[in-house]
Amino acid sequence: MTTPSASEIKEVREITRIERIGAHSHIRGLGLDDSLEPRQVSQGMVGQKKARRAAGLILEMIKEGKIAGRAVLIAGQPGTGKTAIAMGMAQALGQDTPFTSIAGSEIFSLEMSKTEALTQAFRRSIGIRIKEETEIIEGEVVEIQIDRPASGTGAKVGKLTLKTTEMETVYDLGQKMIESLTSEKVQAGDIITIDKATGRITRLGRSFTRARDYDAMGPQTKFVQCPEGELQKRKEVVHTVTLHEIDVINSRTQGFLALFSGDTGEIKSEVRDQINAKVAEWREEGKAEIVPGVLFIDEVHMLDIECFSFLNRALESDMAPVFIMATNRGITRIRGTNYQSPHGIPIDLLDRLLIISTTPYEENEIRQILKIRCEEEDVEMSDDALTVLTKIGRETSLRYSIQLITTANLACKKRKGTEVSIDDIKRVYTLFLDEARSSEFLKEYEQNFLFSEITSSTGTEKMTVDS
Amino acid sequence: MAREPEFVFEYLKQVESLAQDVLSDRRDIIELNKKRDKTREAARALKKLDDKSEPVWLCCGNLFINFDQQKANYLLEKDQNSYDEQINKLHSGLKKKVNKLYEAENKPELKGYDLIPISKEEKQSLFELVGKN
Repeated sequence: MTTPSASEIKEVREITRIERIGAHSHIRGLGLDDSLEPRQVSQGMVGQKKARRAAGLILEMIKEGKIAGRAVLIAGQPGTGKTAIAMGMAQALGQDTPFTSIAGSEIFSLEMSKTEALTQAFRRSIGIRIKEETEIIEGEVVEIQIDRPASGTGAKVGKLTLKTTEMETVYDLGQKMIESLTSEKVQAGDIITIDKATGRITRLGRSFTRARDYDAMGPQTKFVQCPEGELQKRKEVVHTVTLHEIDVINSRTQGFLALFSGDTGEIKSEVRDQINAKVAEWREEGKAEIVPGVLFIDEVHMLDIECFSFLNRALESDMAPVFIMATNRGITRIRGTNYQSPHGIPIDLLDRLLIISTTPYEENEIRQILKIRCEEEDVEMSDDALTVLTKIGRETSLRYSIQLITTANLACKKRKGTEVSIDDIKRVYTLFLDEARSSEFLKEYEQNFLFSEITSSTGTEKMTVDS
Repeated sequence: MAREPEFVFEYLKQVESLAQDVLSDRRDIIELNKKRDKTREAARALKKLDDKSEPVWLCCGNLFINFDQQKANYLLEKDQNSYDEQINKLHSGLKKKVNKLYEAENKPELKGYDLIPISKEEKQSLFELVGKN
């Protein structure tokens, strides 16, 4: 009984693992060298040299803080690496720069207005950097000595000996300190920090040198190295928080819980104004830095005319992030109007954009991408199979052939093979239809599907009207 | 890519001397801290004495000098203040030196390094809870 259940568990785990590999998880950066020249294959990026070079230039400007309030449009056919380039930019920016990625349709919600959702996205992409400085005493406790008065009541006195690898000293303890030491259950061999301003004691763990003091220890016992340097240290901590986080904390009493639940609701504009004023004040005094981040909106043609006019205005504010959009549309209707416009974006907004265009991948580029994906998904594939898959990728779409990697791998495992072969690819190719074959199939068997007559009848109606 | 050996040597010398500068400052801070703690301990010990009129032996370097307590207290306090001052001076100088070293090593500048720190209350006013990690 035990063996099958164990294998079941294993299988479940595998599935979650596969799910967690995102379509762009192999992207590590833009793959540029020091002089911003794109390498053919680097950091998960393949081809698209022109677009990557352009993105690299913009990135450099973002890093130098020159380009806040600018907007970039990445345009290109489906499956030409638009999102990959945006992801690459995000990765290359590093952790400290806020990067928000949303899809155009995400802003349509019943709970908040479109402009509120956009404002939140904007404010999520602007970071504020502040610094805190605290004086702490950090060291390993050598000895605690607490003298209780003989009467049992009255002030206790005590001594605390602390050391680092370099020095050792004795502190006389007052009543308060003794209490907090006992409440923290500090004993000899612990590494502690004492905040000089507040007197708060924090136990960091036990010293490694005392690891053998006891035979049995709870699993929560943490061992740390004895600190180096001086006992009295100055600790400077730099935080980067986004404007949106500050907004949320201040908009409600239970503030920061809302940050985790995502239930933020609409934030009053007065709150935002106050925060803006405070931040501006700090910036003047040299206490805060503004970190303009990046807001990326995928499928930007899903925004409607109201959003676009809002964006026009928002880009002009002095605290605007770098705004990157991506679209796969050509000349199409602007949502919410009857007007046609390139990329489905109004001309006046389009005028403010720097446009990067991506072009379809070449055959060898497709091959390289598939190879990278195979590595990312831990799939062994024979050269022949890869060639076949590349051909499929060129004739159908890159996304379809990437889907086939995982499925073919499963087919391969099923026959207990170690390397995906042409047969596996063929098998899944017949099992799963690509878009072109699926529509062909639909056309052929249109009559057998539900509601087919409605479309055909409207079609004839139209014809009669037309004629 | 090949550079002349003299250039590389010069460059390495520069970086090393900058790094040595930083290290020796760190060393000084630790030494000063040691002395500061010792004077603090001495001052505490003086305060605890019951007989305030009796002269005490103060150890200066490697000789003992007999002082009366007020004088000793005054000396210790003076020392303490001068140590504090020197440590602060070294601390503020250290930042510039580290920045220089980073520049020479072509490392990215430390972010938010020369911001003026905000006080606890100021932080509290802006982040009611987020500061508690």
